[in-house]
Amino acid sequence: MAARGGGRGGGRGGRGGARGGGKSGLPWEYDPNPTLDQPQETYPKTYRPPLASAHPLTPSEARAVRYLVKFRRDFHNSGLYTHRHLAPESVSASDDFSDPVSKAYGQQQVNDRYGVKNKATIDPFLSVPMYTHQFVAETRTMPDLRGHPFHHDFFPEELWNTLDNKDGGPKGPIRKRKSMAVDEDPFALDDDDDLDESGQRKKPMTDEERRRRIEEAATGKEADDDIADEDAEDEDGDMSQQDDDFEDDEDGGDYNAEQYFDGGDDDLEDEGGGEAAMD
Amino acid sequence: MLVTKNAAELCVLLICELYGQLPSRIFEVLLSKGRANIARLARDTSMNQRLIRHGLVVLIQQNLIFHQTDLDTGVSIYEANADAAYNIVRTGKILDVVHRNYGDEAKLLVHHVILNGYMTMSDLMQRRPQAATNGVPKTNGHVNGASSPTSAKLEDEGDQTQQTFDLIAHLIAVGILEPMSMTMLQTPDDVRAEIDRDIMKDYPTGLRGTKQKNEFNQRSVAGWKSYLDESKYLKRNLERDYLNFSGAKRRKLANGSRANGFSAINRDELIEPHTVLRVNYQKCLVELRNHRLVHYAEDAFSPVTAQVYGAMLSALGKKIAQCQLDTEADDDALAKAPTVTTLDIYEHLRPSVDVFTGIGRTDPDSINVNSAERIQVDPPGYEVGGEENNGHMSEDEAQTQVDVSMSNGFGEDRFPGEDDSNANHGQNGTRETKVKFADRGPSRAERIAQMRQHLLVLAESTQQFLRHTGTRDQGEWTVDFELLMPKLQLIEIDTLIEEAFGRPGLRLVKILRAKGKLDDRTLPSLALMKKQDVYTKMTEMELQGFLDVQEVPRDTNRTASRTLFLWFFDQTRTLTRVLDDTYKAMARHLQRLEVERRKKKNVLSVVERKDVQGMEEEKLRGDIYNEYREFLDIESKLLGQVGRLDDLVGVLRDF
Repeated sequence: MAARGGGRGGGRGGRGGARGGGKSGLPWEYDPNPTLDQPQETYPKTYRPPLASAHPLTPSEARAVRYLVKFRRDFHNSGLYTHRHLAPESVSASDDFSDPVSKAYGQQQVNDRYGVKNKATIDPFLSVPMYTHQFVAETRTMPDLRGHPFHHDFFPEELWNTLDNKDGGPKGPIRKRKSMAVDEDPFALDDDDDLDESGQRKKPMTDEERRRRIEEAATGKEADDDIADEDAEDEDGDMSQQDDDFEDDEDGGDYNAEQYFDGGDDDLEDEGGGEAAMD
Repeated sequence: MLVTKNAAELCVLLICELYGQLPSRIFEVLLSKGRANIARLARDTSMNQRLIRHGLVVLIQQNLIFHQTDLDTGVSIYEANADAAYNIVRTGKILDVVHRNYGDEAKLLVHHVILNGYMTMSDLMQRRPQAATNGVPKTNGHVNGASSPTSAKLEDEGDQTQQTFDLIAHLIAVGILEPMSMTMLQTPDDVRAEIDRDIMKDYPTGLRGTKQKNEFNQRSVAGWKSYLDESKYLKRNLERDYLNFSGAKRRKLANGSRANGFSAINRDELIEPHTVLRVNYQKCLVELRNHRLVHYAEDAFSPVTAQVYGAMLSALGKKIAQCQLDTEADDDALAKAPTVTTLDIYEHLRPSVDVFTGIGRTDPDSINVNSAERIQVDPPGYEVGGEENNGHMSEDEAQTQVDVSMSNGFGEDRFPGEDDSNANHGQNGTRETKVKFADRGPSRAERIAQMRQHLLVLAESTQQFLRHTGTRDQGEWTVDFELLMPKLQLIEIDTLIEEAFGRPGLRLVKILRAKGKLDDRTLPSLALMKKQDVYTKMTEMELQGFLDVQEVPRDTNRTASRTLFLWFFDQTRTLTRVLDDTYKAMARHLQRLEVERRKKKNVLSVVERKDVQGMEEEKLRGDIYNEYREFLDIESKLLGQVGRLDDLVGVLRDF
């Protein structure tokens, strides 16, 4: 009991706080010479995680991970995905991996972490269309809702214009999306087998497909009417759409000088005017 | 789901990982600030309203938020659905379980439904014919091989459509897919409030007296029940034809005479083409729970017993719609828990399982057959009132203890040949046992009898994996999930405590659990440990939040020497704490994944190039490819660990 005495007498709380006895061996033992130059212990001493190599994933777990990754890839290739876009200042600090997430206090600081994509933030050196751009996947900050079957019943009325792409969404024909290639032929794809997939991608254009495309071009039919055709769209289409990309951005940006005065409708509509009334 | 800070962080990270940054930002604000309209969201996220609207569309499409429109003002408010966001982490596991139980095609269908949030019946049906018409030959071969290996000739399109339809109908009948209704867009609380408000209209003067109050409550519950049943009408319609729909039957049906009987019109009558389908996560949880329980059975017994248990659970699982019963709506559900018969279970047992292994052998005289075959019609402590409850339980346990000691310490074992003595006990299987003696190979009856032994072992265990409820069809069985799951939760918590504080810590916690609150003077003598060790261990555990101390002053002086310090272990509090820690760990894993991505930024940017993606091995230089493989390895380790943590969350919270 003597050993415990220090802890007891330490305070009315009985738990002693930091004033516990010196020799008791208790976890909160008072140390008169604190060493502040040492880094603080991040993990409690009691925590001894087992080594990952000692418990490899079971086949079922490995399958679950693979399906999740496959699902993620499919969604990332669809138009609804928005890419990660952080503010340059929060990214530049990223060279130091030890503290990846700096603390943010308040919503304002949290919001400042994220990047804004508009005319003001364009990098003039990289925004010129370049040859290699055709290989780089676009980064979207706003989902591309075109070509996606929505059921308006399930959405509130104020979003219907957005669904119909009347809300300043990206214009022009739908660009090539790989997920559509996947969608088009889901049963063909065995995700366990990468070769199958690459085989799918390398699939040369068949004669009838080419013929159909030529016919369509002749009749002036829009390519985006037929989703299956997107896969067949060639790379040139992508090059020309690099320009569109930045037009989209100026719509999606936070600050738009050209529409500074007439673009105030956004601010009004929550006052009950309703989007439908104005459209 | 209790949304703590860590849980919120996890949900936001999950959405960001899978669905993108914009929805995750909106979701974060919705979680932290509660329900809001577009204008408020725009202010809180400092984004413009157009971006918010686009983000909301994605969130609604993926069933991640609820929304409700005020009819007078036309303004909609949105609310986060944290459960749905958490379920994202289970996507892989759900696909795996669907793949295992319903086949590859079913997995692809579910994959597409989750990918799109929800899909109409007609959209989903169109997936298949396209594959048949413009699929590459290689593909065609694969599909045929998977679905019906017997058909050598190319199947015509009608057959394939029929197969897809049958599969979708089967999934709806089982409950994996469910038709979506407008009420699902609102929070359940709102729906409930609306039902109550509608009923209140009949009482313009308010509720007066207990009679009216009771009446109101009854009507409210009835309204709630009918709301819950609303989405199940389609399931009920299809259950008759499609519930026990296996691959073998499908083949027969597709190739046999009924194939032409189902025309497209018939199909449309059964399921309207514009029915909107989505994944029913509650049912998926039941499947995941079955999977998890098999693991526990494997830990406790043998792989063979676990497989028998798995067969039992999958038979039982067809009758269970959700893990946690809505006690208000299903007040009679406890009374008539679904049961399965031995023959049912045998139908679900894979023929490759060798049931003759896995149980040791013992002298038949040392088995108390009456006790082993004991039938418990009611769940333990069901009819007995509150006080007698404990007595009843302990009696049961005592009996189990006796059984164990009688059967040589390991379950209850028997030679296969001696089953007839056992089968004569109130069974109508005597004729079958004679057949068994005629041919010496493991006949069907022999296999069933041996499988029963596995079931009896499971029923005898202290965890009470099973309950033997009747003798019809060689025995009826059920699982008392409400009693079994808390025991498994306790096992998980014990494991955690043992990992963190060693065996002495676990010993102290177990003593506290058995004795309730204990004075710190009596504890060392009970635990047979040194005072010093006990105090150090207890304070350590108290700091980690596993234990708590209560001080009771013995007089008004309140000096430490005149105060009792009572230690206690609060299971529910520990449970929520462990859960919160688990959320935190999962969130950290996802953040770690992001750091790993930044470390390998250069490699990944190359891999993501359009001309490289999908054929990394051919296009990449050797060292870069190796580095990419390294990253994939790390990623699968991290995601695998997140999956394991999710297993824990499942046991502690959902199952």
